[in-house]
Amino acid sequence: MDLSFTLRNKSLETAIGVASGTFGYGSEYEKLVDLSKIGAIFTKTVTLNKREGNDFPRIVETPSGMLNAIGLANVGIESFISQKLPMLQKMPCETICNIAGFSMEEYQEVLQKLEDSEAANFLWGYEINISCPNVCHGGLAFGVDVKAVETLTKALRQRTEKPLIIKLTPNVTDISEIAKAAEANGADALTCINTFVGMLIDIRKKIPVLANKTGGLSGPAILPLGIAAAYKVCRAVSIPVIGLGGISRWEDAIQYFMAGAKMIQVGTATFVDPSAPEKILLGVKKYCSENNYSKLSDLKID
Amino acid sequence: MKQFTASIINNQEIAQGYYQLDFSWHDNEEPKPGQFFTVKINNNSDPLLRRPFAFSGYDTKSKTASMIFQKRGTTTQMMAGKTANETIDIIGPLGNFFPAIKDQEAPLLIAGGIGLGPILYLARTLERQKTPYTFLFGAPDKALVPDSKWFYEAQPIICTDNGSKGFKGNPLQYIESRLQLEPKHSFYACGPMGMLKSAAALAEKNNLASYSVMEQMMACGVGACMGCVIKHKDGLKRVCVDGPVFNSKDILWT
Repeated sequence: MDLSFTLRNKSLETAIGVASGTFGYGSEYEKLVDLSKIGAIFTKTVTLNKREGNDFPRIVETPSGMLNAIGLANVGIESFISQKLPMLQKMPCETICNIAGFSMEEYQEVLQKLEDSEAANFLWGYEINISCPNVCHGGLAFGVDVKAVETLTKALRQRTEKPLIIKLTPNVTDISEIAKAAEANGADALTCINTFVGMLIDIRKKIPVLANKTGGLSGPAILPLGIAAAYKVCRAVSIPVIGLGGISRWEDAIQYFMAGAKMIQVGTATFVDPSAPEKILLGVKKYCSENNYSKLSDLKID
Repeated sequence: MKQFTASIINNQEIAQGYYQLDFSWHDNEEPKPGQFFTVKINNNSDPLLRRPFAFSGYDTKSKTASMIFQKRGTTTQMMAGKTANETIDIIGPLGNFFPAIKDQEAPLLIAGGIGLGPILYLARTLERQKTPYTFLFGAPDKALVPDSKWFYEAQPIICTDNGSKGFKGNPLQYIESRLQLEPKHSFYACGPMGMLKSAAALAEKNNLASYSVMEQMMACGVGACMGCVIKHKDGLKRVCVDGPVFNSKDILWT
């Protein structure tokens, strides 16, 4: 069974990754997860400057899901390069660095710093978080604006030969338009999808539960939403799609592959059960062998 | 730190709505007072996330760990219904632990309500080490005070808000009215936020060493999700890996 995933002539042995923001910088889960079973760690988003993130409460459980508004808390690119990359390099799986910025320039600067750093040579590729607000354009998220996605993808493409993956936000009118804009400007793959905007209100205190008011909804609750988005995007573009959103069992992963995804990521499920990625891998393998699939792309349905 | 399936050895209501659950522990690493673990009660997606609980005791010989929980939400409702030989999914031990008691130090162990667990574990450990300590437990009413056998070798001074058992008032009122605080005294506290804040203020006023066990909503429990932060003098800190035991002087109490 071929479970590999290939971009720009580079292959990941296993088309199962752990999602950005749910796996820290890898070391947090080292004692609990057999990382050699995982295709790639998608790192916690790194930005130019260190960020403390949002005020708390930052997380709350919802029916079959959770809302988070961490606010891209991270160590910043300099510390990421000096402290986190050496640890990540030792992990027995590949690393894909997730990047964000609050302006076009910031995205480019972060990516360029990685390109220029010898310590970052080992990175397999980049995943671009376009769900951040563009401070130069009234705080509108990059990922909801076709023009911004075009410009950003093009600018980043010019700076790297490594696989460039754009992580789409589902909080848009037509995700296909954004997907096509990224594809046309040099993206190698699309991650589909980031979290859905959600909110809960504390009726006793009469205030939003999260300090940030809204947060990103993840977990089993969004599985059908993610599958629908992946299905749509897979039919709008010809570059590979990496599916995620609500995957906690191997059956969920199979559905994303049937929708047309060439790789999947496990996110919130790892919080619930750190062995989830490995269990999903085993289940996918078993299903494929029982159903005589020799490669994941054969699973795609019409 | 390990993820494993623990067998429940005993589960009993020890006060109104308070339960002590004893379960089998693994060989890897013995839990220390102050540390915690997370529980996944079943394979359902609701409740979804693991829940963190402090250790309330550990028996080295039988490799049995204990916790005290209050029946409050869905997970704890389900836990209250668990019986011997059923299993639960555990990850632990997690987080830091109480610092060692120094020579000549006179620790005051302050537990409020369901904050009893980690303080009881510390008291029992000190008792076994023959380290002198003073242990105070406060509850609103005697119905929420476990029977003395559930404190084992570490009998606390009982305080109730309504005076239905022991001292009338909370543990801090007891300390202020009955004890002469001296430099050798130190605080080790776990309980409601208001109590922790008052304990920190009292320690600060008397220039005493003081430690608090903090609580916050958690998703991962291992430092990955960045969800469980609190305000610390050095910025936001994660309760799960930077704590749960903090020097109370370092916390920005709000």
